[in-house]
Amino acid sequence: MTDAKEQLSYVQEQDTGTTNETVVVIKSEVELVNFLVDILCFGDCVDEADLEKDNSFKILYSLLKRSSVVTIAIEDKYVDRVYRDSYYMHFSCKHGEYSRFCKRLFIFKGDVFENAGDRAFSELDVLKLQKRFIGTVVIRPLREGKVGRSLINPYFVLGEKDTYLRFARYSATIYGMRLYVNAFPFSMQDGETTTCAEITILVLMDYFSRKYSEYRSILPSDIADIVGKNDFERTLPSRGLKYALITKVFSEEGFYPRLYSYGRNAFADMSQFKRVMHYYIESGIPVAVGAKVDEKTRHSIVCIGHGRINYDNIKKKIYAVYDTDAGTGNYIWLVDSSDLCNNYIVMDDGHTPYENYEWKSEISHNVEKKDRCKLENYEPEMLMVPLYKRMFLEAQDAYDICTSTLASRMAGIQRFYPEMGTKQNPVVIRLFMCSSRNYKQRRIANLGPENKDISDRYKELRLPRFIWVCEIYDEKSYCEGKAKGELVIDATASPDHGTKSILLIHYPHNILVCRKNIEDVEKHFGINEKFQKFDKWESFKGYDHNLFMPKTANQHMNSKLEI
Amino acid sequence: MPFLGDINSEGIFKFMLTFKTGTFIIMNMEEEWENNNMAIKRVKLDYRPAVVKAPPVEEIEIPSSHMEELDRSIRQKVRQNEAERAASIEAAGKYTVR
Repeated sequence: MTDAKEQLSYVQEQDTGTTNETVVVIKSEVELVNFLVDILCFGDCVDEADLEKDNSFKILYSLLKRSSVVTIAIEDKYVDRVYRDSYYMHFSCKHGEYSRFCKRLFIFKGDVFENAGDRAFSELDVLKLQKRFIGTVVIRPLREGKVGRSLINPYFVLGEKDTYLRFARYSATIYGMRLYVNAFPFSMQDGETTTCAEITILVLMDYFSRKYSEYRSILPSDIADIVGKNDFERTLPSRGLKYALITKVFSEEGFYPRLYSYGRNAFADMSQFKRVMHYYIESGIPVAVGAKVDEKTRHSIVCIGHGRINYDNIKKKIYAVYDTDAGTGNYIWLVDSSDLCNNYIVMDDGHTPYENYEWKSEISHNVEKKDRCKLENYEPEMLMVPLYKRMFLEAQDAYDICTSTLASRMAGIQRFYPEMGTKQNPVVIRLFMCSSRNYKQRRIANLGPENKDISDRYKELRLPRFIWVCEIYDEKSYCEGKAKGELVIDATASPDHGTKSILLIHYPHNILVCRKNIEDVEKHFGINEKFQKFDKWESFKGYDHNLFMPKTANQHMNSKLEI
Repeated sequence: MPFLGDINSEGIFKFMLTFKTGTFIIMNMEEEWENNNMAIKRVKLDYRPAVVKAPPVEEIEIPSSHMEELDRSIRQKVRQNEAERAASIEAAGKYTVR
């Protein structure tokens, strides 16, 4: 866009004479619909059929109707960095007049003016506002995809029961009042500069940059630059991206991403695909999922957590694992905890934030056809995991090392605790990756007084920055959240290292700290390695620092240090 | 005399300090060091172990030969994962989402 056109656009905005900020309390469904018609600029001639067809309306309506009363403060002329970037990259070059500005909605639960007398919004107590703060939503001046970067507290959408997810702490200011919200970013696609592929990258990078100082937040133009250098066609208007290109963008931003696909030569069955996805989600790593919508359309969504665990299904998902690849030798009976979860928390750019999607399996009775699995209405086919650069060992390899060791005759669980691993009492495993500093802190805090001698061994553990942990439970202890033991694997190890990547084996009353595996990398495992047995021992609380339950805005204020 | 400095085996060094009108002055720096600097007085510090561990009631050894065998089977399993890796990369190159 030329400078003259940009100036004209700015002058027109100034001439409208609207106040920059207004506040409205919405107390009924009719008021909500009217508010959305106003804020989404439908005009006066809109009917119900038009509203039902509009996705922006549907998303905001289903989000805001969750509370019978909401207060919304509107920040007009808001400069949203993502939209502003799209504007200068694309919309300013068009003949039609697009505004440079967005609107930002600050959403509060209930009526914030209750018991406030005649005080104006800007005079209200910031702590009281914080307690009611739900989050912010950006409204873009576009025809499609009006809902821009939004930060909504998951508690408002999901409640706190049976939901475990990742989020980061964001802040936003209005009238000089700084409000905080724990959220995972959400945005709709605008269809021209962003499709679901770009939105997947933007929300993931937004989250990672907010959570970890190693990463930076990126904009649509950054994505277009990287794609332009690595693809063979123009980048705008966007027509979607190949999953390999999405991975390339993450590589350029300092990640070591890993791709998994379901199909020919890849995963033998869908349950393996789901397990790998679950291991990473249980590790607190949000993943991008490529899914089939219909024969011609593929869509990308971001999975950030999981829902309810079906404890009743433990005995239904039992299988045997051998210590050799040939299916002979020693074996134990296992239940993988990932098989017990069928609900995932998803950020889908065409739906409300924090959708709880169900994983459904359709078993094919035709031998020539594979079993079908659906994540709500999509068929998952591709998985992209944005891994940190030192996370070398991946989920499947960690799984193979852990299960083979657990099943082995000399180092397996049945040598030390014969009651576990039988068909009547299978071992329930929970596999995840975590940072060693959090791991050690949580373990020492949760090992309990009976485990004093074991705890002393944990204190002196030499660990890399990230580790794979395979917690061991039996049926009863899994339902209680109390682990009976664990294997700790070095996440910087090569998969070929096998048992040399084991850092710790902990079974009831027995512990093996594998110091020689770190000190003598060139030697085989087991030379002078000995399990230490202790009389006193008790089961301990499972690791709980990768995924979090949603909290109210007030609880967030009280637990700043936790996140 | 082409070389004017000298470092002996004990690290005591002598070197030429000044050069004046064809006269070479060599000083023994060791003497000056001893005159100007006092050696640090060393005292024994009370270093303690951060973690005091009770001995185990029993130690159970793992035979190395068994673990070698286990390693071989893990390597076989991990190799099968490699095939999946290559297939996934190929599939992702053709998988467009929008």
